[in-house]
Order: sequence, then structure tokens, then C-alpha cells
Amino acid sequence: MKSLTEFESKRLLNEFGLVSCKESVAKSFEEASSAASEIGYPIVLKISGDGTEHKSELGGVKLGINNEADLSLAYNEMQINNSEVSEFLICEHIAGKREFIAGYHIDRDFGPTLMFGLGGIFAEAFTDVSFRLLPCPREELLRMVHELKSNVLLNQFRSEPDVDLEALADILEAIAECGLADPSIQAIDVNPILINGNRPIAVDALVIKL
Amino acid sequence: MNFQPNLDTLFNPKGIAVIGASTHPGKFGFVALHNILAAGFEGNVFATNPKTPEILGVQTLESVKSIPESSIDVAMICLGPEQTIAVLPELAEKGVKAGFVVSGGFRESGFEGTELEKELVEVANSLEMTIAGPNGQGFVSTPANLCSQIVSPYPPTGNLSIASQSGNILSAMLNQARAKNIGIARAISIGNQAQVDIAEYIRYFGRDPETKVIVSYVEGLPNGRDFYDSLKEVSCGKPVIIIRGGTTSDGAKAASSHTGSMASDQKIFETAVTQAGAILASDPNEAFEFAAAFATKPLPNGRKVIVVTTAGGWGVITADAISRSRLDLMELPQDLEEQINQFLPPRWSKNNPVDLAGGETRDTIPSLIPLILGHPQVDSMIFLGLGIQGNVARTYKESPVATAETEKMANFHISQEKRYAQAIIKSSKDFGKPVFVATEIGITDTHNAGPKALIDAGETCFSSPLSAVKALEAMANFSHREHEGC
Repeated sequence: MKSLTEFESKRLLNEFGLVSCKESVAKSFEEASSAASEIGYPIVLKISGDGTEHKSELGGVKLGINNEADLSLAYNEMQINNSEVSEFLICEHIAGKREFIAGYHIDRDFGPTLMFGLGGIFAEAFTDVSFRLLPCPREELLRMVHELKSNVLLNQFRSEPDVDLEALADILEAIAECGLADPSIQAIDVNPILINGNRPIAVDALVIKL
Repeated sequence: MNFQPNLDTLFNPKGIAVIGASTHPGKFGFVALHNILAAGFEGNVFATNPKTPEILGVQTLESVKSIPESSIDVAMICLGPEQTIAVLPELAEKGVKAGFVVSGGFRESGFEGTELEKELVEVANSLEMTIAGPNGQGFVSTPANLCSQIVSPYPPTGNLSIASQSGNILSAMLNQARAKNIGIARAISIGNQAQVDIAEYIRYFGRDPETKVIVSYVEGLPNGRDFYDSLKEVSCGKPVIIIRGGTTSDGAKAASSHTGSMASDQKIFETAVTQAGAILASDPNEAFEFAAAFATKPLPNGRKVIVVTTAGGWGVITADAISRSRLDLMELPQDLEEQINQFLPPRWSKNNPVDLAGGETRDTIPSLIPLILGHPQVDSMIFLGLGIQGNVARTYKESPVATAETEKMANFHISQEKRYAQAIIKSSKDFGKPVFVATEIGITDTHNAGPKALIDAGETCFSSPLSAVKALEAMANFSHREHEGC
């Protein structure tokens, strides 16, 4: 099993139409700083490269960095705590109250499957996911979205607008097509998908190959 | 598999031979022959037994070699594993196209059995012979009057077909079929699925003109994707009801991804069944009730249901169950309310459920059933309270203080129960809409005239309104199936 890095995973998925946050890889603070200016603050700083699949547990994610001074502090701290890490990811900070997850998985009995579910801090307490066997038509993707128990979150919610369901189906379609296009892909996790206004945006992704 | 299994011959043989027939009524080789004879199979029947000249009036043959040429095309093989494999070439020479292998001792018994099973399949494939089982209890085909099984019972004739990975669960459903007078077309205990797997049985039932409804109990799937494909192919035309056993163990699933850790066997299996347009049942009893409903009732056009009740509490319970389902406890149409007013005193519910509140007289129920069911907005009906008058009749009939008056009243109650059942059957037929009758009396008193008239007519009588609601919901879902290709 080999994982692509977060950056590689998102680039691969982008080829299939996945909408994800703006981001850039940096190997030095200068590169990080210039990437941050280009993307625009606030930004998110993450460790990147091999062995960083579980970056949150390694203290390798810092959200809501508002300026260069904060970036410098976060960069140095992360570098000290993760001495083997050689590169960093500078990502657009996506605001969104609603979080979902999606993924691809090859079931041992039924073959390729697609998952969509509730994300965020409650996802561990309430497993709320739906699946489809792949390939399947787009109507099934829309149906699987509505199958969630928490599907009220797709409607207007706490002053946030209705989720753009077609855009959400586009994300699911991209994941499905990416997985089906390469038999060596064993699994894809896109976690989280944040709903920014009405737009779903993939914020993190992981592609696992044989 | 390299060749198309010939299940048509298995279920419709011109002649059958019991290989390894026994003289002992406790042995498989006796029971199988007995059941074939008892059910009245009209084709050729032969039996082999090297020691005995005759069993149950059938002249036995010393070996397969003595069977007349071209007299049989199916064999019920009641030999041990090695002997079974050895006899296949001889059977093929006699024109046998399909066989059922009863014996265990194959894959289910360990490494040696697994090797034997491979050999069994290789030999059968090389002979282009279809092999059902091994390690199964046999099969039933009522259009052929064929009961080729080592267990009981032989069910009534009908259009429900069952393939079960458990012989006992198959027998349980055949027992239900007999008790509830629901007819069966084909039924098979599929055993180890060595050569013919569950998907092939489902496909066969799908194209079998005798089969209208399919039920399958599944544990392991040799090829999950092919199973899914078979459900998808068949579900467009016929309801396929699936029960899954063995869903709790999930430890073997390696989860390198978050998605994988969410993909429990149960979740993916349920996804596959419903995505294919088939119907999941939670247990064999529910599966049988669903199947009985599909087999005996017209499909509802929509989700709107009216509950008619003479039994207040059950009406409330039923309304609750409907509100938890995807059925629609429709508002009573104004024009229908006005029409019902003419048959009942003002205390009736004037709502759905239509609770008659004891206001009915001699002709009220037989008049109301077609009136309500015939209303253009109504898709289906649940009727509660059948058998209540019959219950009183029973008490009068059994009474130590019976009089000519109680006897007369009892007979009136009995004739009323029959009229209600007839009105239900006729209205359902006239309007092409399903009526679900639910009463515990169908079980507690099988002689009660109401439920009995229904069951005798081959209609389903549900033991509880909750199971009636679930079965009706399954039918409404199937009627509205939106999956690919339908």
C-alpha cells in the first residue's frame, strides 16, 4: 500500500473535476510566504510529503493563519516538531459550518463502491453514511446524498443557504471516476468536504494505491 | 463457469433417478424416492440399489448402467462424495443433463472436502452436466409435481420460487406456504453452490414463466458483483426478496482508509440489494410475508392507503406504523366521507382510519369495502377486525348454555364473516388494488370463518397490522422503483 501525498491526491482528483481549495507546496519559509500572499490570508499551513497521512495527530495542521508573522511562528514550530518533514502545504482557508466526507473503496465481495457521509466532530459519534456500488448513474449519486439521516443539513441551515447539490454530485462523480480509472487505486478519502456558502469544496484528500 | 447451467431441465425433467435409493425409511435415499412418488411426478422414475430388487413398488436397478437409454435427464444423487464423483460419467452416458448432490463432506468439511468439491465441479463441467448442491436437501418443482428432497413438506402449487443457502430455512418457508396456502413454483436448497451459484438461480427464476415472485436466503456469495448484476437484471420484471444471514462478523475487513472502515459487510450488502432494485427482508418470516403479498395481491399504484377498522386500538397502532413508513395515510376525501355517512350513524371517525365505531349493520362492511377501495384517489386498503364476529360465534358454538337463539346468532356471525372475506377478495379483484387484512385470529383460531375464507381462497391474512404495513410498503416501493433501466 502506498499513499499519494495530500497535494498529489488533490491534483489527481482535480483532473477528474474535483473542486478543492487553492493550495501550493513550499520547501522553504520564503516559498511559503510568497504562496500565502498569492493565495491570500487567512491560510492553513500543513506538513506535507511522505509519512504525513495522519498530519493532524502529528500537530501538522495550523488553521486560520492571518498574516506573515503568524505564518513564521507556525512554520518554525511545525519544523521543530516534525524534523523529518521536508515540505509544507499552504492552503486557502475555507470557512464552512457544514462538513461532509466522501470516499472510494473496493469491497472484497462487490468491488468498487462510493461513500458519502456526515463529517466533522459528530461523525465519530453518529455514523451516518450511504454507499453506492460503482459505476452508477448520476441520479444515484443525488439519491445517496439524500439518504443521509442528517440530510436536513443540505437545506438552508443556520442562515447558510441550500447546498448546491449538483456541485456536490460533481465531487462524488470525480471521486468515482478517479477510482475507476486506475485499478491500482484501493481507496480514496476526501475528508472534509466543507460547504462554503452553498459551494462544496474538498479541503483534504488521500488516495491509497496498491 | 464455462457452460450455461441447465436449470430448466433440473426443474422440468422428463425422468428422474434416485441414485443410492435405500430401503430404510430413515435414510435420505428412501425419503427422496418416497417424496418423488408421493407428490405424483408423472415422468419416469428409477432408483438404484445394488442389494434390493424393489423399494416402495419401484423396481430398483443394480447400477446406473442398467437404466434404459434416454429415459431420464435428471438424477437425485444420494451417495457419498467419492461415489458421487465416480457416478457422474455413467449418468452422462444415460443422458442425464442435471443432478442434485445431497451429500455433505465437500468444501464445508475442510481441506480434503474442498479438493473433492473441485473435482466434482471439474468432472461435471467436462460432462456439461449441471450440478446443484452439494450439501443440500433437494428441490421442489410444483409445475412438474416433483418433490425431490430429503425433507418435508411438499407445498401447494403457485408462483413463488425460493433459492436458499440453508435447507432448514427453505423448509420453514415451505411450512409457511402450506399453513398459509401460498403456492410455490420452484424451491431449492442450494447447498455449497459449487457449480451453480445463487446468481444463476435468480436469473433462472427471472426467466421462468412459472415464477412471479423470488425469495432468496443468502449467507456467503461466491461472486458478489455477479449476484448484484443478477438482482439488477431480474428486479426490473419481478420482485426479488433477499434475506441475509451471517452479517455480524466483520473483523476480517482491513481498513487502511476511512471509507473502508465505514464499509461494513452489512452496509454494502444492503446497498447492493436496494441499488439493484431488489427488496431486503429482516428475517425469513418477513421475507415470506412480503413474498406472499407480492404473489397474491395486485401492486398498488401509489402510496395512499386507507385503514378500515372495527377494532379501535388496532386502527391507532396501524396509523402509527403507516406514519413511520413511506406510505401515505391519506386524508379522507370529502366526497368519500359524505358517501360513508350514508352507511353509518354519526359517531364513526370521519377520518382515516375509517373506524366504524360499532355502527355497522348487516350490509355496512360489504358495501363500504368496494365504495372506499373504488375511490379514484385510494391506492390500497388495510382492513382490521376480520374474525371478531366469528370469535363470538365460536363462544356460542362451544357454550354449555347454548340456546336456539345463540345458535342462530352464531350462524349469522359466521355467514357475515364469509361475506366480509368475499367482499375483500372481490373488490380487490374488481379494482385491481390490494387489500391487506391483518388479524391475529388467522393464527389463534384457524377455523374462524373470516380468516379461513381468506386463506382458503389463497389470500394472505397477516397476523399483525405492523407486518401488513411493511409488506404494503415493500409493494409500494417496488411499484415506484426508480432504479436504472426500469
